[in-house]
Amino acid sequence: MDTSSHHASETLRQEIGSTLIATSSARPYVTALLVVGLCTAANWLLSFWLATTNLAMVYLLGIVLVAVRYDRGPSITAAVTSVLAFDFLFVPPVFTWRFGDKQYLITGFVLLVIGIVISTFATRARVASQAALNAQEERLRNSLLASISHDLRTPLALIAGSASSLRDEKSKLSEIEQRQLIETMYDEAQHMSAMVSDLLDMTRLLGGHVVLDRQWYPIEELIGAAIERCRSQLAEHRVHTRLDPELPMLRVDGVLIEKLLVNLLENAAKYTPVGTRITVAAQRVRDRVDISVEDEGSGIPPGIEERVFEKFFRANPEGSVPGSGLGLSICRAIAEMHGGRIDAANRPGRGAVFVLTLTAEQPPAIEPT
Amino acid sequence: MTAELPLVLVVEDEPKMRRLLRVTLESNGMRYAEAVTAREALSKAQNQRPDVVIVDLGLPDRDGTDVIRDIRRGSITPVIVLSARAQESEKVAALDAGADDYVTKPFATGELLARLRVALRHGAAHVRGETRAVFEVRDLRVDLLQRRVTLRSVDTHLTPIEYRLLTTLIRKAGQVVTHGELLRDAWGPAKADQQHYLRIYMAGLRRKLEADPAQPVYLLTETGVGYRLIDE
Repeated sequence: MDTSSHHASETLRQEIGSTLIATSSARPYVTALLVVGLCTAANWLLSFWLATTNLAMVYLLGIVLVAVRYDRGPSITAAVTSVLAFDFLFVPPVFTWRFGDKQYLITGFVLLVIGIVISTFATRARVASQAALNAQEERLRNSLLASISHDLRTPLALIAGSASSLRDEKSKLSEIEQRQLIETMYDEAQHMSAMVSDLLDMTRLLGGHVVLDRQWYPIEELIGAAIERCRSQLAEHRVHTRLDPELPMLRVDGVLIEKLLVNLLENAAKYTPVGTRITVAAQRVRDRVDISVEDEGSGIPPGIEERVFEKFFRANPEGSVPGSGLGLSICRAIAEMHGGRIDAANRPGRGAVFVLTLTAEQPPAIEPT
Repeated sequence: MTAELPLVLVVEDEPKMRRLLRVTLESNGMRYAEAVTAREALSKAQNQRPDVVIVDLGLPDRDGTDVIRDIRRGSITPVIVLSARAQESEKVAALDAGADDYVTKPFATGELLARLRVALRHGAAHVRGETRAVFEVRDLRVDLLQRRVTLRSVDTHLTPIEYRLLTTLIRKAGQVVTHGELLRDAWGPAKADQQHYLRIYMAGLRRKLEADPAQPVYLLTETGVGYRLIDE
């Protein structure tokens, strides 16, 4: 996944969030009144030092803050109440609604106009960013659809073709051929299933609705669970682990970190020759922990170490290895949700290494039992 | 139990999934009964006295978890959950409601059959009122009467908590045991939400029983759900 677009979508999501706050009924008005109240309190103290006209500046600040965040209604409310409070409490004669000096009428009018103008511009900007977010989601949806139709068509064709051969021409097929067709159907169905769950994971993670269920995990348990989960895919490789003896526990969402490690292991199994070694290692580096998956394959073509994490990017799209092109972008999304990072590199001798870096926090105290 | 073939009640609303299960079960020496709705499931679970029930969590008329709770109320028949959802919290909810194990769709029939065998074995032992005196799998042997744990015939010393965790897992050998259940059994209700205690002690247990604790063969992790001790 591209980092900058991730951050952009994050900012946009926050924008949308504030728009939602702005459109919800009473709260903005209450906030507007609170801000005016605070300005009044500040002015009450400042009035001993500042000229009356300058107190209007404090109200102006409050109005601007309200106007940037909310729609016109709360902004006008803030402006009007500011003018009234200013007039009643600070404009001589105080504690009357009369303007002793007519100049303060202009001050009040300006406050009102500024409130309206700024809220109008701010609302327009929010609408524009909402539109930008919609456009971005639209693009993602389109590329998802394109990917689904393209990548699912191949396994579907193989399944349908094998099934129709078995149905219509069973008598002409040898026992071995029948067996091969059945194997094809099973394998392709597995690929489709994996692809669909990748797509679901990705949309779920990007939708921003995932709340991390952070718990303390021993690192060896996370690694062990991931290896166990893809045991059948790893059956033709030699899997080794190399763990520092004194590793700290990590406070992570175990299900998601397992998913990340499973994706890395499945990738290693898919793209490296049968019989080669896959090593899962973990080591502490100061206040961080590096968990890496090393393989003995042909490595990553130079120059695309960063691109492999992009959505739908595949190093060899026409190759025979099936995949959604989402596995590594899911890994990156999960790493970033944890405030960590994931990087790919080639090892000095041979093969690729993917390193997940997470921060080690102070572990919880354990009472002896 | 008589020499009769075991009866499996399948609670599933999808006709093609029922057909697949029927073929799988009948070709593997089991009898098949089916229920399409929650109501039908409850009446058949009571009247036909199945040896094991397979429940799909996505039923049209009621939540699968409620169905499990109702079946559990009337009998001790083992329940295996079949679920397309990969949400760990739903699996835990089904297990807490009384299910004995789960299989996630899409599943390999081999996995389902293995789960069924374990459930049938537990169900039969329960009916006969058997309690295991010795648990043995691969190189691990636990004598539950003498409280003696041996690995490749060598005595292994466990702390009292580690031993309690192990016996809870043995009681449900082959089936998943949730974090909550293990915590309650080993520490009592006070620490029921302190999952890190459990993880630390399970790590200790693995260091004593597993050749490579990062690639366990006896004590498997079901992340987000619990642990499973293998039994075959």
